[in-house]
Parts: sequence; C-alpha cells; structure tokens
Amino acid sequence: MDQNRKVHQFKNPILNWIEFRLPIISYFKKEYGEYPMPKNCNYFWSFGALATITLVTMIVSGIFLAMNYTPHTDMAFDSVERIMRDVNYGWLLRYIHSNGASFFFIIVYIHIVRAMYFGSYKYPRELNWILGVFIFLLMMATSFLGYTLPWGQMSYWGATVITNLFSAIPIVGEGLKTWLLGDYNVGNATLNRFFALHYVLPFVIFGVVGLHVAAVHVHGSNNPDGIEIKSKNDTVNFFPYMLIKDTITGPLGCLVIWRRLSYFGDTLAHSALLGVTLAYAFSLNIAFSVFVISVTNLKAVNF
Amino acid sequence: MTNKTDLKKRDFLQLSTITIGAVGTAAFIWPFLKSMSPAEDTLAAGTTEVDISMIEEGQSITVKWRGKPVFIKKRTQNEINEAKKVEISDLKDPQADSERVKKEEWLVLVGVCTHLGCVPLGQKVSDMKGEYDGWYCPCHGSHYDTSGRIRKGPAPKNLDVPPYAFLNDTTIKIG
Ligand code: HEM
Ligand code: FES
Repeated sequence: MDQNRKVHQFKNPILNWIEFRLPIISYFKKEYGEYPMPKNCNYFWSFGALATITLVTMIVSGIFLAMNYTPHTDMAFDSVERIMRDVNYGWLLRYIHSNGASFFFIIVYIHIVRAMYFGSYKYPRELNWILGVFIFLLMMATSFLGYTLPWGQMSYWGATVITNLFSAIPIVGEGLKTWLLGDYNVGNATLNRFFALHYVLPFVIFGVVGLHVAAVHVHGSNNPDGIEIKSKNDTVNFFPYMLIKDTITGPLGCLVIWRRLSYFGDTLAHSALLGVTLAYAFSLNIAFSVFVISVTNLKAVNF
Repeated sequence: MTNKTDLKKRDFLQLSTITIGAVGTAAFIWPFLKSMSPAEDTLAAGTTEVDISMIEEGQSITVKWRGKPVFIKKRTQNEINEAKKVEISDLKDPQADSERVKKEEWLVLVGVCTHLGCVPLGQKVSDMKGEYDGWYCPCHGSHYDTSGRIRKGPAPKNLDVPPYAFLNDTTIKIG
C-alpha cells in the first residue's frame, strides 16, 4: 500500500480523516472552489446552476408527492385531489412540481441557446453537448410520464396519443405499442410502469448531469468571446465569484417562478394564497443564500 | 478610504445573514415535513361517535377509533366493586378506578396492550379474562383488571383511556 501518497492537508481533522480514505474533499475544492471561471462570463453561464437547482427541487417535491400518490387507475385522480385538498401543503408541493417542470424546460432552453449562440458545443466540448442532448431526451420522457400520473382527461389522452406514435413504425409498430402499454389500451398496467419510470428517470438525469459537468471541467468553461482562455489571468476562482453570481440568479429565478405560481398556479389559487406563496418564495430565496454561507464557513476551516 | 477590514461590521453581516438564512431554510423545509403528518381527511376520521344504548350490563363492544380497537364496557356492580376495592399501593401503575371512568358503569379503553401492542382477550363471553377478571393478553401474558389496570405480566402501564365525552345518555364521542 502506498502510504507515501501525497494527501491534501486541511485544518479540520474530520476532513483529513475522510480525505485520506476518499479524496473527495480535495475534489470538491478543486472542481467547485478553485475551478477557473473565465472572467468575462455573463449571466447566461448561471443557467446550468439554475437547472441543477430545479432538478433537485423536482426530485424533492416529487418524493413528497409520491408519499401521497396512488398509481392505480381507480385511485390516481382521487389521490391527486386529496393532495390538493387534504394533505398539509399538498397544493404547494403540487404547484412546485407542475410549474417547476415547465420552468425546468424554459431554463434548459436558455442554457441550450447559450451553448449554440456562443459556440460552446464545439471542440473540445462536443461530448458535453452530446450528454446534454441525452439529458434533454430524458427530461422529455420524464415529464411526459409525469403528465400521465394525475390520470385526468389530458393525462389519459396524452398517454394514448404519444404511445400511438409508436404504432406508426412499420411491421413492429403495433406490437411495440402493446409492449409499451402492457395492455391493448392505456390501462392500469401502463399507469403502474409509467409511475415506476417517472420515479427513477430523474435520478438517471442527475447522474448524467454529473458526467455533463465533469466533462466541462476537463477543458474549462467557454466564454462570451468564444476565444479559449490563455492564462490564469483570464479567469477567476469559481468560489466565490461565480457562486455569488449564481446566488443572485437563483433567487431571481425563484421569484419569477413564484410570481407565476402564485397568480396562475391553478384557478383555485385565489389571492388568499398569494401572501402565503410570496412569503414562501422569499424564504426559498433566503434558503439558497444559506448554501453560500455554508461554503463560506467551510472556507474558514481552510477549505 | 482605507483598506482596513471593518471586522465588527463583517461579524454583524455574517451573523445576520446566517440568522435570516436559518429562518428561511426552516420556512422552506416546514411545508415538506408538515405534508407528512396526518392530512385533513385523516384528522376528520379522528373522532368516532358510538351509540351505546344497545349494550347490556356485563357486555362489552369493540369499535374502531383512529385505526385502533376501543373497548366500551358496561360494567356490572360486582366488577365495579372489584375495581374499587383494590389497594392503590398494590398497583404497578397506581391509579384509582374513579380517575379512569366518567360514569361508574361505563369503562372506555384503548384495546391495545401496553406491552408490545397486541389486542388483549376479554371482549367475548368465551374469552379468557385473566386472573383479575378483566382482560388477558395472550402474546406474553399480561393480566388486566376490571378497570383495565395492569396487574400481572410484562406490560408496564394500564390500558389507555382515550379522550371521550358523553354527548347524551346513549351516545359517546371518542376523540
Ligand atoms: C426531472 C425531474 C422531473 C420532472 C421533469 C417531472 C415532471 C412531472 C410533470 C410534468 C408532472 C405532471 C404535473 C401535474 O400536472 O401534476 C409530474 C407529476 C408527478 N411527479 Fe414528477 N417530475 C420529475 C421528478 C419526479 C420525481 C423524482 C418523483 C418521485 C420521486 C416525481 C413524482 C411525481 C408524482 C407522484 C406526480 C403526480 C402528482 C401530480 O400530478 O402532481 N416526479 N411530474
Ligand atoms: S403484547 Fe401484550 S403481553 Fe406482550
């Protein structure tokens, strides 16, 4: 065993204990602390972080929805109504999740347009783009599956129409469709598997996002000039400069989402709910800043 | 302008940001945690009204309340006397019979053994009632008396008395 291998030294003995066994602390320090961010990056470069926050928000709100959701054709709709009426803050969880899905796409579209406009898809970042396309496909699949879960008219016919697309494939089409549905029509077997897949795909997305980010970090971020960075002088450390920028965008994004959510969340969302939702939006913003604070404190222990 | 850091100001800013952040995080997490406690419909099912006019003396019925069995027994004079004459200091979980009933003849108990949660026997005429003529838990042998108090066996506590009220002479509301 290589006892002489060079190990990063931190002030905090607990960090050292972990670092010696799994050099994950220095990894995070390198990738999210010292990571050289081009100085001239504008706010378009915050949309990756925004998308990540949204993904986590979707996963968390989804898990709490799933605690009260029943994937059965006879009970699914009622269980969603129960979430709206009886479950404590169920309406809030559902609005976060359904509006969050829409905003997830808006954010990702801006992120993609950024990549196209500034040429971030080009050498040496092609794999990044390809992984991004996979994320996008997975997102589409996930939200289609989620859309079927409340089992209302739109869900049912949405499931019918989309799965029927497969029947257009010559020869194998009908068979493939029946296999996807697990029945000759959209039914309970379909709803069950759609729920199972809707639960698991976001975690797959999370994994691919990890690869996507790791891939950017190999050659570094692109910048608005499209000219590759020449020296350390062209960059600033990710922490705190980029993180602060993301911290501004994050809460702003949340506010936009929450404005939309509180006005148009649903026809049921009368102005009485407005105050609650806005207050909640406010705390969401603040919660994000805690993230920054905790990183700051980590820095205080010689991070 | 000097380059000296105003440490007091920095401390103040740090502390106030952390405080606001902590409050914000708590407010953010609260709805998520709260969504896990019983929902409105579950709470609405938390009270049960029972018609007790059909219960004969010496008879006991079992009703469901919050998913648990509740025993409602109309005690005979013998059973009442038996419950009252016990020396309180002899009891493992000392409690007078009068503290456990609202009207002497009516005994209302949560039918869940205080040991590990089995449902004690004693509701049916043919059931074993244990050495103290009340209830007997077959799981590990706990004996309860005619006031539902633990007298022998591993259970640590008397059978619980649920919150209840007499709406009139023939109806009680549990919960
Ligand atoms: C990539 C992340 C995700 C996306 C894009 C997404 C998208 C969606 C969409 C569009 C809906 C329909 C909204 C509605 O009308 O209610 C939905 C519903 C649902 N999702 Fe997700 N979801 C994600 C993650 C998750 C996760 C991780 C879970 C569970 C662990 C989950 C559980 C649910 C449940 C139970 C419903 C049905 C309840 C409802 O209709 O509000 N979701 N999802
Ligand atoms: S559960 Fe009743 S004696 Fe153990």
